[in-house]
Amino acid sequence: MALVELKGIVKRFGGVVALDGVDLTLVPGETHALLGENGAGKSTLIRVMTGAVVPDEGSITVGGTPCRFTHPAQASAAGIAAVYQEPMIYPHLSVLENIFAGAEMTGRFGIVRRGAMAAVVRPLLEQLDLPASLLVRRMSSLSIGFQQMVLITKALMLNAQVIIFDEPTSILSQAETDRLFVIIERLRRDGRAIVYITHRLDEIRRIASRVTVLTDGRVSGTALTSDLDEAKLLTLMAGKASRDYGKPLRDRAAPAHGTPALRMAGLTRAGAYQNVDWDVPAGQVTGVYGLVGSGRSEVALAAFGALRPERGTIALQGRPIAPRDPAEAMRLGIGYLPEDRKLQGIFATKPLEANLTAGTIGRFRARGGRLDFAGLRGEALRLIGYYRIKARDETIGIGTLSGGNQQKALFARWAGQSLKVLILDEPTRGIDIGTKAEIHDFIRDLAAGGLAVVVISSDLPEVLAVSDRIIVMRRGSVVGVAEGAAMNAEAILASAVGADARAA
Amino acid sequence: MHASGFDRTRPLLLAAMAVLALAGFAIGHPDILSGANFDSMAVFGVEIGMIALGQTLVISGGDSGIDLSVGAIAGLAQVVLGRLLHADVAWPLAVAVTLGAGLGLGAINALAVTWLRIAPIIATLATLFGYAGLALVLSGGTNIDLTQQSSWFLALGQGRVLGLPFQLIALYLPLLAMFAFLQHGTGYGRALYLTGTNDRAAALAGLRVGRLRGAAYVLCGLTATIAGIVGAARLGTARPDAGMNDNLISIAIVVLGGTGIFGGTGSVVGTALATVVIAIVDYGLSYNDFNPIYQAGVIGVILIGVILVENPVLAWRARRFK
Repeated sequence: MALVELKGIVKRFGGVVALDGVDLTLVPGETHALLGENGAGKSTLIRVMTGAVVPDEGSITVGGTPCRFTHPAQASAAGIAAVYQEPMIYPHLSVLENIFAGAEMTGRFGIVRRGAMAAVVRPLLEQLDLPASLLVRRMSSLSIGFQQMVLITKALMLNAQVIIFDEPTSILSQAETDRLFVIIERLRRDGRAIVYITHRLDEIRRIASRVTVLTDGRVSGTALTSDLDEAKLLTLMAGKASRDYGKPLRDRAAPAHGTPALRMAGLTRAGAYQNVDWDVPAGQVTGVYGLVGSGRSEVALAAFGALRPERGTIALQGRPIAPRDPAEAMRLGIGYLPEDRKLQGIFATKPLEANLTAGTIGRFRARGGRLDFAGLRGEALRLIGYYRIKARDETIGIGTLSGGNQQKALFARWAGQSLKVLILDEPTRGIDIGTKAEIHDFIRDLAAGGLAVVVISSDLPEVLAVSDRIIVMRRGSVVGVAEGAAMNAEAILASAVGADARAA
Repeated sequence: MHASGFDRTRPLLLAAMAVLALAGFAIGHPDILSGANFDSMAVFGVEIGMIALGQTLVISGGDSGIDLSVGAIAGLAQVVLGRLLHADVAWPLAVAVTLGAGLGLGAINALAVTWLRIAPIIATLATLFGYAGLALVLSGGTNIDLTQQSSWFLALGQGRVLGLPFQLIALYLPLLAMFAFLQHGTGYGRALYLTGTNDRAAALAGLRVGRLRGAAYVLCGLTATIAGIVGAARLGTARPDAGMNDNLISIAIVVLGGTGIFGGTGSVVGTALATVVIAIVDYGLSYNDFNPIYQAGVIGVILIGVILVENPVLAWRARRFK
C-alpha cells in the first residue's frame, strides 16, 4: 500500500522544464534513494513534496487522499518532513526552540510551555540516542551532524510519516554518517517512508532498497537496489557510459626530488592543528585526506594567509614566507579554492564574468585607470570555453547556473591564473559525476603543466583518483603520507579514522 | 544587470517621478517652472547631493556600511574653514587645509570600521557626536561670519558659470562624473561591488576588503567636506550645526536612488536622480506654501511610494525577459 503517490508531476520555471511527468511511489518501511545529476530535478521534486513549490500538472496522494500543497505547512501537516544538507535553523535559539519553531505549545496568555515541550521531546531524543541536555544548547554550538539530528527530532515530533533526506552526508564525518545511517534504518523499521538523495553510489547499497534515477526532469529508471550494479547505475545517471571511477586517471608521477614548491614545517595553531608538515612538490597532485574537523582546511588557509599559524614555517620554493592576507599570498603565487561555494566562493548576484575575473581585476587596467572591459570579457570567454562552463553568455548571473557550473567557474577563476601552488579545498563537493570527472581531468592537466596542486577532500575515491601522493590528517595532525603502492583505500581510511597504525 | 551592478529600472522611475512632481507643482503655481526657481532647486540640491555621492559608496560596500557622521563632518569643516579664514589664512590654503581635515575625519571613520571592527552604525554614530561636539568647541557655539571674506571664496557658493550656479557646474557635476566613473569604470568600483556582495568570497579571491571599504569612508568624508565648504560660501557664514539634517537625508536619498542597503548594488546615477526628486519636492512644497513640518514626512512617503511602484515594474520586466 503506497503511502505517498506522485503522478505525472510537471513543473516549469519560465521556459525550463524542471520536472517532466515524474511518477514516484513511496511505501512505508522502505528507503527510497533518489539519484540524478545536478539539474536533473531532484531538488524541485523535494520542494514539490514539501509544499515549497506548486506543480503545474500532476497529482499527489497521501494515504489515498488527494492533496494539493500550496504551502509548506500543509505538507508538514500531512506528515511529510525534510532534512536538508545544510539544516535551515535559527542559530541563536536553543535546540528546544528550534524543534518547536512555529509549533510552540502555549498556555494561557500565549505563554510558551517549555516544560511541556521538553516532556514531549525527551522520549524522542531517547529514541535517537541523543542526550536530553541537548535541548538547552544553542543550535549554533552544534556540529552539522547534530543539527541534522535535531531536524530529525523535529520530524518525529510532528509525527512525520515521510522523511526526506537531501544529501545529508556530504558534509558529515564518517562517524556522523554511520550514526545517521543507523537512525535512518531505525526510522524505516518503524514503518516510515524514507527518501534519500545522494551523489554517493556506495551509500545507496548501504541504505536503500529501491532506487529511482532522474535525468533531465524525467524518471529514467526505478529498480530494487539488489538488481543493480554500479556500472548500470552510472549509465542510468549519466545517460552515457561512465569512466571506471575510483581508478587512477593515469600513471602516477615519479616521486619528486629537490625542493618542494611549498613546504610547511611544524605548523601549529592551538585548537586547529599541531606540528603539521606538508611537502607539496611541483608537477604533482598532493592529496590531503581527512575527515571534517581534521584541520586540513585550516592548514591550507595558513599557507593562503587567511588564518595565521602560531608557530612553524612556510617556505615557497625554499624561500620562507609569512603571508598576512590572501592578497599577499596570491602575489607570491599561492591560490586557494575555498570549500564552501556559496559562502566563500561565488558572488551570487553578479555576472559570470565578474566571478571569473574577481581574482585578477588588477591586471585589467586600460588607460586613465579605466577597467579594460574588453580584456575582461575576453578572459571570461576564454575560461568559459576552455573549462566548458555551460552558460548562455558571460553576462548571466552566476547564481542562475547549476551547482556544477558554478563550481567549474570558481575552479576556472583559480586555474586560469599563473600560480606556483594551487590548493583546492573540496573541489567537487556536491556536484554531479560528469562535472566531477571533468574537473579531475583539469586538475591532472594543471599538475602536468608543472603546477604544485593540493587537493583536499573527504571523498576517498576522489583523493585516490587524482593524487600522486596523499597526506592523511586526523585531529589536527598528519598521521600518514602514502605514496605508490601504499596508496590503497583501506590503509588510508584506517589511518584517517585512527583504526590502525599501518599506514603511518 | 550590468557587470558593475547598474540597473536602469530605478533611474527611469526616478526621472519619471521628477517630471511628475514638477508637473504637479506647476498645476498649483505655473510660475514654478521659471529659471530662477530651477536655480534655487539646484542650489538646494547640490550640497546634499554631494554628500549622497560619498554615502552611496559607503553603503554599496556592504557589511551594513553607513556613515551617520556626514552632516557633522560638513559642520566641522565649516568651522575649521571659518577659523582659518579668521586667522587670515589665504582662502585657497584654508580650503585646502579644510579638505585635508575632511579626509582625516573620513579616515577616522574608516579606521574605526575596518581596523577596530566597530559596526559602522555605532562607529559613525560615535563620530557624529564627536565631530559635532568638536565643531561646537572650536566655534564657541556661535556662527562665524564670512561675508567679509574674499569674493573669490564666496563665489564657491554664490558664483555663476554659463549662467548657472557655480557649484552645480564646476563642482557637483564633475564630482558626479568622477564618482560614476569610479563606480562603473574602474577596478576599485568593481572590487567594491564584489566586496559588498560577499565579503568572505572577496577576501578569499584576494581583494583587500578592509582597504576597499576604508577608501569609501574617506571619500565620503571628502564629499561631506566639500558640501560644507560650498554651504559656508553660499550663506557667508560657518555654522557648527550646518549639516545636522544631512545625516539621515543623505541615506534616504541613497536608498531612494536604488542602492541596496545590504551592499553590492546601486549607482551614483540613481543617487543623483533621487537628489533631483528630493530637491524638486522640497522646493515645490515650500513654493506651494506647504507647512514645512510636513516636508520630512513627504520624503518618507516618496521612499515607500517608489518601492511600491517599482516592484510590479520589476515583476513585469522579469516576465518579459524570461
